Amino acid sequence: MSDDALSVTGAGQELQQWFNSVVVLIEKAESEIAPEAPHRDAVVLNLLTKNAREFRQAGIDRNGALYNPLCFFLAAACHRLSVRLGPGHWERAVANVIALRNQLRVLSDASANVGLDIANPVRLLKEQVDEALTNAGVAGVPTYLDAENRRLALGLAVNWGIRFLCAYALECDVPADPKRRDLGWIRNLLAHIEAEGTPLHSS
Amino acid sequence: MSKALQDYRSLERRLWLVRWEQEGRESAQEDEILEEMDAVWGRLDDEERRLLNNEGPRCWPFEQGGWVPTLADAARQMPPAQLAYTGFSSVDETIESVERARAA
Repeated sequence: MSDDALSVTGAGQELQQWFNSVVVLIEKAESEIAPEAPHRDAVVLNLLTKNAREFRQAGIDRNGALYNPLCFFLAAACHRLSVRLGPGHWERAVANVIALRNQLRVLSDASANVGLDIANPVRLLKEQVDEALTNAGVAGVPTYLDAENRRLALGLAVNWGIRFLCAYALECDVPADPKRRDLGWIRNLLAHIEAEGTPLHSS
Repeated sequence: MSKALQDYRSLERRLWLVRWEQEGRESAQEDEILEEMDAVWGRLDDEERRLLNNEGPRCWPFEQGGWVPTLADAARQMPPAQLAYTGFSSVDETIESVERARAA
């Protein structure tokens, strides 16, 4: 791992490149299923709603079961929003998750003394993603929001979703394969930064 | 909630989304929204301005500790649905029309 990757900024760049490769792969698959643009929009919408539903209904595990639906959902949502996630999006997500984990670790130690179980960051972030998916109307549950606010909710779902991915990776037990860039790779990337206690950059 | 506060919240949400999509870079869309927000700010009363100042801005997606915008009031902003069927006969009208048809 390069020295650059050990900083939050470096991790943001690595994650952006990784996610771009995921998006390119999924877009290629979409084009093969539906070469024509209007049909491709239907394929994207189907990918979005199917994986949003699967993610929302699933519980949290440590084996990486949420990795697939989450990546498909993020790629389809970005396509739907016509947004390309940049290094800044990922850098902010990494910084937020590391700060959140530090804060909750301190709270968790204090709460254990009074027998309270403070939620862990993965659970907190999943709740945010689930709420945003519901508001966006993409998870098979009714929403009362108009089109403009559903679009915002979808953006929030992506925003929370990339934070969830970082927190989920840090707590998963998936072994890292040096030949692959998958959940185990993300975990190792972020774990190094957390362990080094690299100063977090503010925008 | 006053219309002015609803409008301000709606603009906050739009601003957050534009800044998020642009990764925090400045854009013409952002400038337009900020101008609208200035105009709406003038329509808020003192209590509403105090509320917004106390809670802090919700439209900086790339700020450390920045809040996301609230959608709590968004559902109330939906315009009434335009129903496809706009007329109906009351029970009396229906009975009268049936009797008229029979008489004819």
